[in-house]
Amino acid sequence: MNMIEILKPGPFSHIQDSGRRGYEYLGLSRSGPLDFRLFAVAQTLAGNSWDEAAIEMTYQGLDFISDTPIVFSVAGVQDVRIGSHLYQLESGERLVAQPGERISLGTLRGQRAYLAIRGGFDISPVLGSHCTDFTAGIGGWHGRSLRAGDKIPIKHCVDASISSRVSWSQDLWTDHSPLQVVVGPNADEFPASSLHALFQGTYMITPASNIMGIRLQGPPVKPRVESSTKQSKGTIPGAIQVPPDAQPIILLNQRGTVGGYPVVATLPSPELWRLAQWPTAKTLSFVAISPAQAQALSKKAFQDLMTWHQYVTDHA
Amino acid sequence: MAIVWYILGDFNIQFDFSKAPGFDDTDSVYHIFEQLRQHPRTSSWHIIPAYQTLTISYPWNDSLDEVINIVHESITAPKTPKTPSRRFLIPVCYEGDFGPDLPFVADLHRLSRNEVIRLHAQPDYRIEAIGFTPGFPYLSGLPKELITPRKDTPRLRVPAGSVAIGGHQSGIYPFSSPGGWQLIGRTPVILFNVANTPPIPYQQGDRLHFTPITPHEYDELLRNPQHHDLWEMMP
Repeated sequence: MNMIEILKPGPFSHIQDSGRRGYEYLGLSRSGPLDFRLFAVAQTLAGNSWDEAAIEMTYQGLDFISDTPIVFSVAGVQDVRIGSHLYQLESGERLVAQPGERISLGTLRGQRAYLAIRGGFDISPVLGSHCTDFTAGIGGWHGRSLRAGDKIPIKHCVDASISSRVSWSQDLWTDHSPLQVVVGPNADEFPASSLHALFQGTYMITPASNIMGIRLQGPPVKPRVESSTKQSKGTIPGAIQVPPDAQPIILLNQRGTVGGYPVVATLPSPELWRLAQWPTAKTLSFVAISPAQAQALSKKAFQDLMTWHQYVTDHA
Repeated sequence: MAIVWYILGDFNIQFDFSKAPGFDDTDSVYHIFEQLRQHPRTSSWHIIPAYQTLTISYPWNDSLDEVINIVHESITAPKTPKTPSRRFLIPVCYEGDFGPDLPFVADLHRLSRNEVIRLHAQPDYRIEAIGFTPGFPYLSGLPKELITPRKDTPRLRVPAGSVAIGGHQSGIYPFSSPGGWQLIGRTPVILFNVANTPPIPYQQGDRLHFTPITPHEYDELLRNPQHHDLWEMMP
């Protein structure tokens, strides 16, 4: 059987595809990659559809071997060793490896990186998706993060060669300008002084952050007292919710689907991808944009990605 | 007042029906959700009904006008007869470590522990929304005597199966997760199973009734692989 074996898993590596659809009404979150752009880059370079499964790595890369020749891509990793060759990479590149060659993915450029293998992983979807859901403990590889010794089947790859050199070199992780957010929908549940604090202050990412949300520490964004009596509503990734302790939490893909805390502002998708790469030691701040600006920003990000995807696919 | 909607970030929209006449219960919003789910254009949407709100994420290449039109169609669609509400019996052990906050709830309301159990296991609760974690039912119908504020500092880890009170609501944690509600008991029943379609047996509008069991019965049910049969479903 064609498979890869994980030799060193890295701190937190797990399988994601483009997302689990149709179950948020039952409380099962959409999951999916935290930096969708970089995930799509890896899939495109590997020659895969964006619906295939790839591995999301956090903070540090992983080591693996394959029992068959493979074409694979990595996006967001600085250095890759294949056997005895060390490669310094662009942001995203396509590579080949022979059976038994140890592949070591080293330092990440940001906080998250992606490994895609041509053909994709040969694993069964759970509730329509390959995404690992850490709350339900389902999907991906046995519903958990990867461990040394995991042998993950891969689909047979017909063409294990690279005809042309393509890469992705857009720099995504050095832009630490303020995160652009759309105010609301519950801005009326905050006094003006709280909104002022949010947009004037700088925030640290706390170690209590996880795959469900990024917890910030900084100037308090105190909601009005009455806010705690409001009924729970559906949540979305990118929402900045504020519990009574006034410290904001930015919800990620694997957040709780329903929540009662007021949402002071919301990040559009590309800003959420940028946040997923934010250095933990660097402070962050916010700037307000209109919903129309947010939609234009996101539309352009997706369109650019589609255009590049088409270019790579045509020149493969 | 009419139906209010907000754009969240980029391609997300939240409809609030709480101020609109004719949408004063969760059934009417859930009906719109059911209509939307069957619409051929919504297969790639994420839709979350919760109380009087409907939250939708749509793909970047759909237009907002289209989304609003589709939602409008669903709102004005003729009401299909609702599937009759079902009733499920949930066995709960309220004793010892299974209900760590039961003494707090009893003391707060000047009730004995047995009175708290009797009161909590008395009504049929109604599922108003499902979410937070997979299968977590937000239940209305908690006796007034048991209304208890959430904890000031949420627990980092609530055990799976915990039965809890949060304000005027009750609920069940199907998975181990963080949580701020008062834990008064625990059920051995597995609420979420990916082998089932859908993975959760109940839906919005169904009723849950709690039946007290002993720690011995809890262990028996946990050991018994057939324990799903104990779900008594009544019309």
